[in-house]
Amino acid sequence: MKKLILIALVALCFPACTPKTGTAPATTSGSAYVGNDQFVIDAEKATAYADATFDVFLHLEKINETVVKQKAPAIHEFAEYLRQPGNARAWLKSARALTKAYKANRSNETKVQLNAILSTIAEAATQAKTYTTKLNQGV
Amino acid sequence: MGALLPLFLQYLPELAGVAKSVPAVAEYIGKMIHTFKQAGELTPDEEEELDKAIAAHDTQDWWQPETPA
Repeated sequence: MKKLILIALVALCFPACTPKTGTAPATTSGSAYVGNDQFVIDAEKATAYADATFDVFLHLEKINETVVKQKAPAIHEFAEYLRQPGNARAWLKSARALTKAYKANRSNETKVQLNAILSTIAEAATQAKTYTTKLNQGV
Repeated sequence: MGALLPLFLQYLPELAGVAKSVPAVAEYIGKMIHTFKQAGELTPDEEEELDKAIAAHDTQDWWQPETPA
C-alpha cells in the first residue's frame, strides 16, 4: 500500500515552480474572461502545487508524529518550521495577494516581489516533497 | 488463526497510519490533477477556491505548530 502511495506521489512530481517571464494580454472568449499571461499562470500553478505539497506533507507528518519525532527529527523540525505563523501559510497568502496585485497593475515591482516569494515557496515545497517521499517509505 | 493474531497486532499501528494517510494523499493527487488541467489564468471562482483552501489552513490542526514562535 505504501509503495502505491509512493508511486503515485513520484508520478505526480510537480514541474518547475518558478514562473517564466513573458506577458501576454488577456482576451475574451464570448462573455467569459480568459487570462493568458504565462507569468500569472505559472505563479498560480506554483502556488497551488506548493499548497497541496505542504498540505500533504504536514498531514502525513502529523499522523505519524510520534514515529517521525523518534526516527527522523529533522523532518519534524522542518514541519514545525513550515507551521510557524510567518512561514508556509504567510508565504502562500503573500503569493496570492501579489498575484492579484500583479493581475491588476502588471507592474515590474510587483513582479519582482512575487518572484521572490515564489522562489521561497518553491524551495520549501521541494524539501517538503523530498520528506513526503521519505515518510511514505516509512522514514 | 490464533497464530496470526500477534502478527496482526504487531503491524496494526502501521496499518492504521497508512489507512489514515490515504485520504490526505488522495486529496493531494486530486489537487495535482486539477492544477495540471489549468490552461489559462484562474477564473474568479477558481481563485476564490484556492484562497479558501489556503485560508482553511489557519484552523486545520496539522498546520498548527506545537510551540508558536
